[in-house]
Amino acid sequence: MRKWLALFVLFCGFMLGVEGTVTLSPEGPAYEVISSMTIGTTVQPTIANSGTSAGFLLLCADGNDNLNTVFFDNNTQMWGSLVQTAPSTTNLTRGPVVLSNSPSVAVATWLGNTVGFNSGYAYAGFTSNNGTSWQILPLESVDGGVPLVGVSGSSDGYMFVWFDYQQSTAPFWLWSTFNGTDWVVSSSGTIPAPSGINNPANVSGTMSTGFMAAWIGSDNNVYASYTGNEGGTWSTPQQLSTSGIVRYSWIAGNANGFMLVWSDGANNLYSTFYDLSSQMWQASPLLITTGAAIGSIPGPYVTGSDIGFVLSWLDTNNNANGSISADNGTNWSPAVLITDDGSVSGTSGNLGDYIGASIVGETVLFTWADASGNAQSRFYTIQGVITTPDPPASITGSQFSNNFPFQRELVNTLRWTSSPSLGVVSYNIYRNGSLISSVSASGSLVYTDRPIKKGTGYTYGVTAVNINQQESSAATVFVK
Amino acid sequence: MKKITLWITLAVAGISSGFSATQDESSFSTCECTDVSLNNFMIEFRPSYFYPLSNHFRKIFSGGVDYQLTVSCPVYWGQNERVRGISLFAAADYFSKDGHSTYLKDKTSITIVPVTLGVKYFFPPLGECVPVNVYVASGMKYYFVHTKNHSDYVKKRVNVNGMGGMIEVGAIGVVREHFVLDLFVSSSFRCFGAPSISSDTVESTGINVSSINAGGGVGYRF
Repeated sequence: MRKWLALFVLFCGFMLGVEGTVTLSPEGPAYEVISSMTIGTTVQPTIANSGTSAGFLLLCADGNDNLNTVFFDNNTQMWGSLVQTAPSTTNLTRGPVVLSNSPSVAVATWLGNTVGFNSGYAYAGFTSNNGTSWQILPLESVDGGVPLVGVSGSSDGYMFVWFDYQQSTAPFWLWSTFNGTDWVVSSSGTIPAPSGINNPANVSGTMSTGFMAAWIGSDNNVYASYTGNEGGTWSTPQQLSTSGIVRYSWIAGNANGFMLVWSDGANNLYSTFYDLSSQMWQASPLLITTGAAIGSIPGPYVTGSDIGFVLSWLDTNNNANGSISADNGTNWSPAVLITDDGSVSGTSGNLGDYIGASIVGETVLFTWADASGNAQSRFYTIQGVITTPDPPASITGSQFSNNFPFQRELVNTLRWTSSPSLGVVSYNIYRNGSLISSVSASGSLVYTDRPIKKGTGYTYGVTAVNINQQESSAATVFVK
Repeated sequence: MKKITLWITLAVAGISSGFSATQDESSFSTCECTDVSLNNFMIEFRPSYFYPLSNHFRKIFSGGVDYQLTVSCPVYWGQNERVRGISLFAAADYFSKDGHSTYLKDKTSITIVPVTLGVKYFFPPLGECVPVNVYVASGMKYYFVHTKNHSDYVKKRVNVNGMGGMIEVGAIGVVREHFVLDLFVSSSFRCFGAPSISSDTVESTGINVSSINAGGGVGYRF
């Protein structure tokens, strides 16, 4: 009897563990060399990647320090050939730093046209044909500085944030759109930073979530500032670390908020999350690893999607590591060892600035530079995520009068909190059992129903729909 | 409130400068300002700030500028000073403002065109040797109200009209023989009931278009 009881408890524990676990599972071969490229030899070229439903776009420097693009086609499941991306921007010293993708376009930034060490021009590039051609936006002329440029946005507009060693009082920002032919710069300025800036700045966000910029201040703590109006105003920078030894940071966002990660001089790796609902950062940062994440270049990297956040970093054995969190970082999965031969380029020789990562659906691509100057990649699948979602955690309904000069109409307003499940992309609204609308999970979780008959009660249901179009049961509310 | 202050300041400044100019000609001081050749028939343009008395109106439209054209004429030209102060006047106003519904902020607009007939009493009567004539006025006001709603869920246009009233106090000064400057505060009253609207999703409501107006005017005295 005792044996059966023990087995039952073990089974329950296993089931609970499976239900709450999100993990990364490797696909295909261990890892593969992408084409036969040689990483540039000047200074710290970076391999960056970004994905769409069509495939993944990777940017890197070749042996002549020219910017190159290579595309992984989802149909053929193969990497293509290297395409020299921007002939006018040779002699890369930094970057490509990051790509920002919407379904059909990509935006990248880099520092090129170098004259001497760490001098040249910061550029942004726009491509709508998987990197075959680019429209270039010069951002800043740099003399003796290293602007690492972060970019985020969508076809509605792009927010650039960067740091220039020569002007270390504040991060720079620039808001620009792309009109199909040219970049159109709308506004620019600096983010007020009382503590100055001492290391890279980057940014994440969309038009619907606003943009969060993060950087490391002159006191070697990490700071973040938010704008909800395309840079018109930035919030007072919030200090998110207290150790004073932060080295590198990165920020990523999804519909729920922004995930900020950083490594410090003690090789610790931290994360903290900004919840868009409460508009607050977590009370204290979460320590992900202790002494195992290399605190210098490449710094940690994080990317977000509807499913959650994927974190990548270089460990002290020169191996690439990855982890995933489907929540606010409270539950990072156990680290997966993306490489196990210590071949990832570290702080000497040819360097990659970070272990690049992209999420498309349930597929994760990691890319990095090895110590021999090759770009490498490895695909993973997110496991344990996409199940039939739970309904919204809570729902309220209220009736209001919408007053005109001689008329008054009644409207019913529903508000609900997001489903705790992963991969929820939209919510369906039902009135008395009939579907009346659907709203995006990345927008405000509010729906107003009109017209309403006076004195009539309505039963509303709100269901969560995930990326596989699985629909939850309804959270219901009666409004009269 | 800033607009009211601006109007009052401009009007006071204008009247003051007008008096100064006239005083320089020693007309007021010698009582030669009485010009019996003027019959004191006047026409005035009187913009003012329209402050709605109804909280409901303010929530949808807030206040705005009202434009008024007034004509007035004494009813008696004899020697009895008390009766000489009486004038009849007629006025037409125009007030138009865009606003938003209270909850969902649908665009809406209102145009109010009242026509007023009333009596003014000047003290002392116009033409006397004083720098400023004060006056009180009262009248009947017939309102034409037009509203337009940019929403598919309510009736697009609602028009109503009806009789209301007004009272006013003011001061008027002669600037240069024929020209006058006016400063006034008035209050108008009219609360419209709910018009007939047949819909099971919309309830008709009344609206109070009463207001306090403060402004200034420029006029010509014939």
